[in-house]
Amino acid sequence: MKFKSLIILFFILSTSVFADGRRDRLLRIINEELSEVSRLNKQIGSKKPDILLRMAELYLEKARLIRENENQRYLQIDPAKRTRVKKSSYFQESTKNFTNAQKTCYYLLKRFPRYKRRGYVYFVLAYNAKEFQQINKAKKFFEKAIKTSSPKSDINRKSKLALAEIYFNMYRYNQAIPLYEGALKLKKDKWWTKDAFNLAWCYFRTGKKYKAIKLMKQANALSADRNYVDLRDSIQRDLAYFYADMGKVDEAVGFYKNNDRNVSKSLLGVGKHLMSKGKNKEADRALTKAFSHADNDQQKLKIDETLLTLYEDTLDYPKHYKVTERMFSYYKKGMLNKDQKENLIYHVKKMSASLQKQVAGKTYVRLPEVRKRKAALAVSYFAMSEELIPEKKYLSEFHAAETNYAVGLFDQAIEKYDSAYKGSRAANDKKIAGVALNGLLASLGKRGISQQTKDNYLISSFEYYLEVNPNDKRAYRIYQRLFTAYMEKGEIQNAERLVYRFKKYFPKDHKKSEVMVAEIIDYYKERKDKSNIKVWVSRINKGDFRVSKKFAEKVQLLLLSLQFENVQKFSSTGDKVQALRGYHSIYKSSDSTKRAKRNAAYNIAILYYELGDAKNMYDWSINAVKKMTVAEVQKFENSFVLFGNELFYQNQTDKSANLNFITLNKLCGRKAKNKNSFAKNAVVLYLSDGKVNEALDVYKKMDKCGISSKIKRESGLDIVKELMAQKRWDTLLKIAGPLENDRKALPHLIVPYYKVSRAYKSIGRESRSVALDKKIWDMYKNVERSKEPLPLDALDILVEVKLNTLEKYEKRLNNVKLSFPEKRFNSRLKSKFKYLDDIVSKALEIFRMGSGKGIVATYQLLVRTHLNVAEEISNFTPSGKPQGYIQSFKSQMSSLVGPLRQKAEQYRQEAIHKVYKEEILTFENYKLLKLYNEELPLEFLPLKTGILMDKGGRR
Amino acid sequence: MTKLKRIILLTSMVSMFSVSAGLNDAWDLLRTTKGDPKYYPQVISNFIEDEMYFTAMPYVKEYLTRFKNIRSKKVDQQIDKIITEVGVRPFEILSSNILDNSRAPIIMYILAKKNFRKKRYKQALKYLNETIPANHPAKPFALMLEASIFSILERQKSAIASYQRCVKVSKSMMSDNSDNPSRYRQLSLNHDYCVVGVARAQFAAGKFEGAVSSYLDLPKDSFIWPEILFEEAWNSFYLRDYNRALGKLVTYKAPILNFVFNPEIDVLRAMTYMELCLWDDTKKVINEFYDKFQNKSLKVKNFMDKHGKDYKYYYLLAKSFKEGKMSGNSLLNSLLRSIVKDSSYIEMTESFERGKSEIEKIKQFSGNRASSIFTKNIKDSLLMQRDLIGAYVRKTINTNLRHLDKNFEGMSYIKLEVLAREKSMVYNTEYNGFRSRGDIKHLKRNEKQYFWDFRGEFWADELGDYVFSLKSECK
Repeated sequence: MKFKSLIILFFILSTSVFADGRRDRLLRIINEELSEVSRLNKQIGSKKPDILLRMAELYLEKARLIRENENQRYLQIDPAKRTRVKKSSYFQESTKNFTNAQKTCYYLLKRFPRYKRRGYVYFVLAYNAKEFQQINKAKKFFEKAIKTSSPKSDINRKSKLALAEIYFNMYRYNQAIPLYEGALKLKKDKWWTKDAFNLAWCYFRTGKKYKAIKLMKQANALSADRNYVDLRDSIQRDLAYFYADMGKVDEAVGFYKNNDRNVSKSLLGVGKHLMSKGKNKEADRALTKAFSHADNDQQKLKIDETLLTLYEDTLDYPKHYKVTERMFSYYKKGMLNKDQKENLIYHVKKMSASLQKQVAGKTYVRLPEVRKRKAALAVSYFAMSEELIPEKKYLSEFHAAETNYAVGLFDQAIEKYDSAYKGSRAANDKKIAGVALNGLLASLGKRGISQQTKDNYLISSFEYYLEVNPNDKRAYRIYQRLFTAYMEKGEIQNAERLVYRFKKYFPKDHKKSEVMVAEIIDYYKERKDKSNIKVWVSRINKGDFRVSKKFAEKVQLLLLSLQFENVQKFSSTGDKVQALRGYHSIYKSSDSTKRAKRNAAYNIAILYYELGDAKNMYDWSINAVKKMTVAEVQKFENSFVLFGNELFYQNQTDKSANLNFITLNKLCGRKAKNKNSFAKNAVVLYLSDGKVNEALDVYKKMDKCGISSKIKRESGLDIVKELMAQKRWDTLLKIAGPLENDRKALPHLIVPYYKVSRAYKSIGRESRSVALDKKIWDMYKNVERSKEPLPLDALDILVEVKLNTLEKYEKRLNNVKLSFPEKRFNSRLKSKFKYLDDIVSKALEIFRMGSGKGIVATYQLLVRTHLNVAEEISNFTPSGKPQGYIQSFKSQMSSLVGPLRQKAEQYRQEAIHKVYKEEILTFENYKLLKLYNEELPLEFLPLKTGILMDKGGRR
Repeated sequence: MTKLKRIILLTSMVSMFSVSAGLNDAWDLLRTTKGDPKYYPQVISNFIEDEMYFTAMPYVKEYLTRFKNIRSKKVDQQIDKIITEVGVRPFEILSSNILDNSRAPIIMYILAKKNFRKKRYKQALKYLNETIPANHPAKPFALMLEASIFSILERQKSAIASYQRCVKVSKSMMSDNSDNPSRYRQLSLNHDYCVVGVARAQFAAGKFEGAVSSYLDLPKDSFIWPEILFEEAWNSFYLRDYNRALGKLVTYKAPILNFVFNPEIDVLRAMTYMELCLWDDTKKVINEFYDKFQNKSLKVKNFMDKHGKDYKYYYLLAKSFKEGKMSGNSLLNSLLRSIVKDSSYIEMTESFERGKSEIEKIKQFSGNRASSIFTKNIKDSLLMQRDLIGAYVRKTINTNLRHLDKNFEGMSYIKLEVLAREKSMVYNTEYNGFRSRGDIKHLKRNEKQYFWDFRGEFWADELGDYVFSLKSECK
């Protein structure tokens, strides 16, 4: 038995897209074949290259079938997802089989290098390479297949065709031609028509057009034969294309007629083909011809659809519009099917968008007429679009509006924008609603729009905007414009409502709302509509609107002016009673504003002042100052100074103090010129009544109210003195403490502190007393440094303290008693002199203090101590010592005693000199002057006691 | 030969006792001539006298070996006689050089056969040309051999003439040997082969129509008819009479023909279905074939590899099978069944049995020494004969396994062809599952053929005449 044809390449070549069922059957068969070939190959120990070749072919065939299926699966994936998947994973099985085919071929060629059918093997390898898109490799293998196979063999022919096809697809027609020619002359199989078709195209592409037409006709004739693949449709289409390309459309028509083909339909095909090749001019000609030959509406529709595409490509807008209009009329008649309608919509959308873009772009800016024409065309397309896509009508209207806007046709734009806005709102398309509104507003802001358009659209547009965007930046301006519009139209209520809306959304922008309110009030003012003004003033007063002070004042004044108009007349004419009556009625009236009331209260106080009625003046001034604003009080502060003074003059110190203090409180935070006076007066007047606590209240406020440091210091020291008088030591220390930092206050604190110290001492709280004494000396040092004048009483107190110390030294000096033996005597004598030195040096300190009383007392002490020591030495006689010794001793001592006595005298003279020179007048002076005569002291006695000074005010 | 010589020398040293005359004379002569080969013709003559052919065979071979250009009619006759009785196979193993020393017609036949096997057809014809007298017992076989050679050499006319002469001579000698069943059967077989030889020659010449008639000349009771039936099937196949070919082949499914082992029957059946484009039937036959043989053939191959050239084992294997002992492998059983039914095997075993009967005769021989020596000699011959039978069994099995392999290959090709055609249909046309079968109008027959529609039963007189009526599904 002979095994027949092994080669199945025919199948491989002719494999095309199969239905799944058929493919599965083929795969089943191929799998069986592969299984059988494998078995056979094993059986014969791979000794037959034919079997290996068969195996390779089967792998290739299987791979191609599987790849078709894999391709289908891959293409069914959603495109978005497809980009993310690993493509190779979808082609694994086919790739495996391609690889197997390749491996088998390589194995075959290696094992049987002289295999006579190598051509087939190379063919498989070539095909394999082609599948892997390795075109150069495929070419190489096809060339080898051609070279190693018999020129008349089938595989040679097939290889030539495959290679020719590669060249064909690479547009290398000159290389494809000889291969096609060589293959086609060998055998006319069923695919001859297809290959001839390709060859004809090669001829055509290389300019051999007549040859191409001739071959096409030959292929056309053979296609009618059942033994050949019928390519008549393609051939006749392309043949006509050839004719058309050569400018022989009539010949194409003739060809179609000869072949009993529908001329219009065929020319439509030609037109499409010419379009696909970019031969638009020829396509236009062919399609126009096709339209003229069309004998039914559907055919015309098809041609029109193609024409639309053509004119879309060629950007021939007028022609496109003409055809679109024609299609649109079909649409209106209900002649378009779903696809046709979609196509029409596509074109309308595309062209309108394209035109709109041109209109909006810069290209035609310098060509306004062209631009306007394009805009008009675009708007026409949009008009069609409105009908074609009614559910998106607003969108088309919007685009039309935009186009009109771009060319400055604002009236038209406004109309479309308005409509687009309404439509988009209804459709809840916020985006378009937003942009339409923007366009509308922008258009309304343009110059040159008609009054009628403004009347029709301005207010409504603003309201649209505010409805959606009540509080954005743009709304801010729109409120104002709308307000103006309402005011211009006299729609006061709308204007009033708008002010409230504005206030709601721009609560911080008081200025603008104030302007609006002012306009409203002006509106009422012009009409002398008091009630509405009152309403608005009341709204302002209630805080419905925060307005500037100036404005508030203005408004208040406006109202006040209405109220005080008559009362002021009385006041100015001197009719104080009538004026008082008038002010009282204003004050009492429930209609009166607060301002009116406090104004009235103040005026009443003034009137009482003028009338000299202190009590009523005090009451109304207190009432007024409480009701008045700080600014008002400040404005009229002089009046309140006058009121206070008047009360003081009339011995109403407590009322005066109260008024001063209340006024101070009112003006506390202000830079009022009389603020210090109010404070000082209040403190002094309270102290004059002994009301330390009230004075303290005032004093405590001084810092907060920014009272000058001087006033505060003076007030503080006054309070301290009063506290000292009242022996309220703790409070005194509390108030005096902060004053310690004030160098000017410091000298005045020494006495009060000394008093406190003595008080502590008297109750046995020695340590506090000592601490205070120390503080006093520190304070003194500070005062000394600051060179501030120290009050005399303070200085005396300080000297007294110092003298106390000096007296302690004197005591110690006196306690050192001279006695023998000699060594002790010398030691004690030495101590005595040491104490004398100390006393002298301490005395110098007192001298430096400059207290007359101190100087005198100190000199007294110096004289006394020196004399005492001189006496003690002089009187000392060592006991139990021989006379000689005694004499010698006395003689030696006299050399000490003499200088001591001289020194004492010197001190006395200095003291006298000082007393005279510095006019020191103390009770101690006489002690210095008496000299050594103690029995006759000369004491200075003044003639009469001092006069008690009245601080005033105390009753 | 050295072994034989040594034995002869021993015989000279022992005395002989009287038994049958021929054997005694042979022993005396050997003793007196001290085993000199030149006296072997007399010795052989004595053996022939006592019909002790196997006993004589070593001496004949020794003589042929020792002497060149033996041109003695007497010796030729002795050789003819002995070979005719023991069969040609023990002498076929001798080299052509040794055989060429004789001009005995039977030796000429053996030499022609040896050359035929070596495909030296002209040389073979040379040995046959006018060397075997018309009445020589080997003549019918020589004529068949000659016809076969002519046929191979595509000299069909000569072949047919030789076959026809063969038929005639065989028939003539059959009548002369009617009392010798073994001889008769050999001649009968030869006759039948020559009968079909004509058909075969016609077949080989492409005269299939003529071959059909010639095949029908072979009666169904012929021993070789079963195997010829297959050839008829082929002939029908070539005549594109596929339904008849299938009818012939289905006959092999008859239980009576279960001994026929010919895997090619299935191959032809598959091919026939394929030609009718009955793909499923074709694949079914192929798949069944693989199922039936593939694994088993591997086992048998392993079995053969295991036993190598242990001829005794193969002899015993066939013998025990013949005595009813079956192996576990049905394929091996089939092979053995076909072997034990094979005429060559039967001839060899019969010859072997005859050789064993000679031993009984020798046992009656009085001379212990002579008895011992002759027994030893005959045993050597018989052992050789046994090994020849074993080798034949082995060779037949191996040949069949090789055929089987070839057939596997063939089946694969058929299946691939079927699949290729099936695929072609899928590629080119839509497959139509419907098909009509068994219509008589698809049959072709000649005047000698009967039509028997096979209905799944086998009747002896219908065997070989079944005809299918399947419609070709080829498009």
